[in-house]
Amino acid sequence: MKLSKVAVYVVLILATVFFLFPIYFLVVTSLKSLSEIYTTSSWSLPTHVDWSGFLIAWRGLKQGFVNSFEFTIPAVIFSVLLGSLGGFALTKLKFKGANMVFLFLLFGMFLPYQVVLIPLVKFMAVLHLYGNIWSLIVTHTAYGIPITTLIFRNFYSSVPTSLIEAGKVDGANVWQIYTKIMIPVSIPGIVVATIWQFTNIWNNFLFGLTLGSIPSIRPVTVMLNNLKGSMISQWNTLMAGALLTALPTIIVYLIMGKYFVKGLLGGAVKG
Amino acid sequence: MNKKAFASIGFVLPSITIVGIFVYAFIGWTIAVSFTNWNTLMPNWSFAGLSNYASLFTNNLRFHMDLINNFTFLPFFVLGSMALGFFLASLLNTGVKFESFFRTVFLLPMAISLVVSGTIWVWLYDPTNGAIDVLLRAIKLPSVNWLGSMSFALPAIIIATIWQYTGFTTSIYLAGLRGIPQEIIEAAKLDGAHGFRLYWNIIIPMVQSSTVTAFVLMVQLSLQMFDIIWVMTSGGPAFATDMPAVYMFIAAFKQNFVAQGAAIAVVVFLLTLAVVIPYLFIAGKITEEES
Repeated sequence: MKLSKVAVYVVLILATVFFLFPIYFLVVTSLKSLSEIYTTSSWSLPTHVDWSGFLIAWRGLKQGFVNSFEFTIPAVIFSVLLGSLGGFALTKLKFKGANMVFLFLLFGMFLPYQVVLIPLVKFMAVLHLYGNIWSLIVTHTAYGIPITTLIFRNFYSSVPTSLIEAGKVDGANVWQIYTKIMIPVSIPGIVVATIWQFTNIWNNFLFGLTLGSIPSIRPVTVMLNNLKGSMISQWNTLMAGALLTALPTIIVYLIMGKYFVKGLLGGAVKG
Repeated sequence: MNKKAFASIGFVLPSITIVGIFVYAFIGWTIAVSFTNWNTLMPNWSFAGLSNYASLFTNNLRFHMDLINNFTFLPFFVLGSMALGFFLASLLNTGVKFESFFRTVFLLPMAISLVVSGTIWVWLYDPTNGAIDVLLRAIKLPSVNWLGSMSFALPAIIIATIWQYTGFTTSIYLAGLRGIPQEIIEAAKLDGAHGFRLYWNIIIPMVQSSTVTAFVLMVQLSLQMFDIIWVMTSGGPAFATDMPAVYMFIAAFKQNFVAQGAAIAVVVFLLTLAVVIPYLFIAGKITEEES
């Protein structure tokens, strides 16, 4: 092997260490007992596996887990559905001003959410949704539309128009073309958009912090941050809580990483 | 409007309506509030002119700190994540074995909530037994209270943020590098371009669109930086890591300075527009050429 090739691997392994060392401390610390946190080096492996951190963290975060699933799943479904409908119209129905509509929707992707937070809270209050799980479902659906529309628009661009023409010849109307022809071929697009939305909504903090006024709707990310405030320096519990919070998205990422990257680039490379 | 056009619009009408309210109407509302005296618990729509903006830029020391912090953070984070991303993507593009393993590892932080990574990094920076502290003491360097220090807290957050987002820039650049036709590289090599010159004259210009994309995304993230700061330092110590997005949240939701919070949000919004509008313009052009 050439020297330059060796150097490439050395650097890549160093980079791997950089990206993984926080994960090492996350896992190792979560499995220690509280006394071991204070008596042994943070670098050492646990002398024996202690689950007390997980038990305490789970007690504090359980409700947040339920809440996060409760608003994430509907919001993913709604935003993916709206993105698919919009993407279909923008690519295959070619109406006048389709590009303008696309830019109108796309702009929301770059929005600094600070500029909508105050009216968002007031709006939810007016609709009597403040403190209701639907405030989070509606909010995550709304701000997911730009990215899902972009993903489906890019995806449907590569679906041959001849498929649509064939449907028209057979006398199908627009709605039948969408449900019978487009939906079946869009499974990969649906997977990409679903994984992207699930990861983003689960991981979100700002909307949860703003709208999660009561424990029964508060997302797990906000509860983890509260745990951090109440369990100061109890690093085994905090790392266990952090690991639990990250687990759903890490599992999805490790199984479906290929689609996650597509979502990432679907929203990035093609404007 | 004929029936077909109506049916077409029908498919995007729900999205247009929702985005119209949640993006455009809300922006308008925030801008309107920023010109009022609503710095109380109860709504007050009396006109205040530019006074909320004027006070931010003249006598509001916290906001001055925020801007300084934000524009110190921005170049280090943007250039750091882009340079590291380009470097790692270039290495991955040399036909290495286990490429998908490396890619998976580099991008893993992107799948994790900033609240989670923020919590982990607080532990890593812990001044009594944190991973970095143990390492420093092992090599006989003095302990540093990273997140409690006026001079080290911001750099500490920059490193954590680069850790979080470098996988993103790596993916963008890898896609860009994969898009360069191999013949062009071969032809350049035949002409004697190697190493640094090959990169400078051929490769970097050919991944220009990746550079623009990565730049816009990272700048936009910098201007809106909130989660990781809230979790790691809440803007402290003594506002050393405070940013406009953090101040906006405090002003609007903790102190009931609603109009003041709205004015900060509008400033963040305008700063974002300055990079996004040119980008959307370019993207829109590309879209038209494609169709």
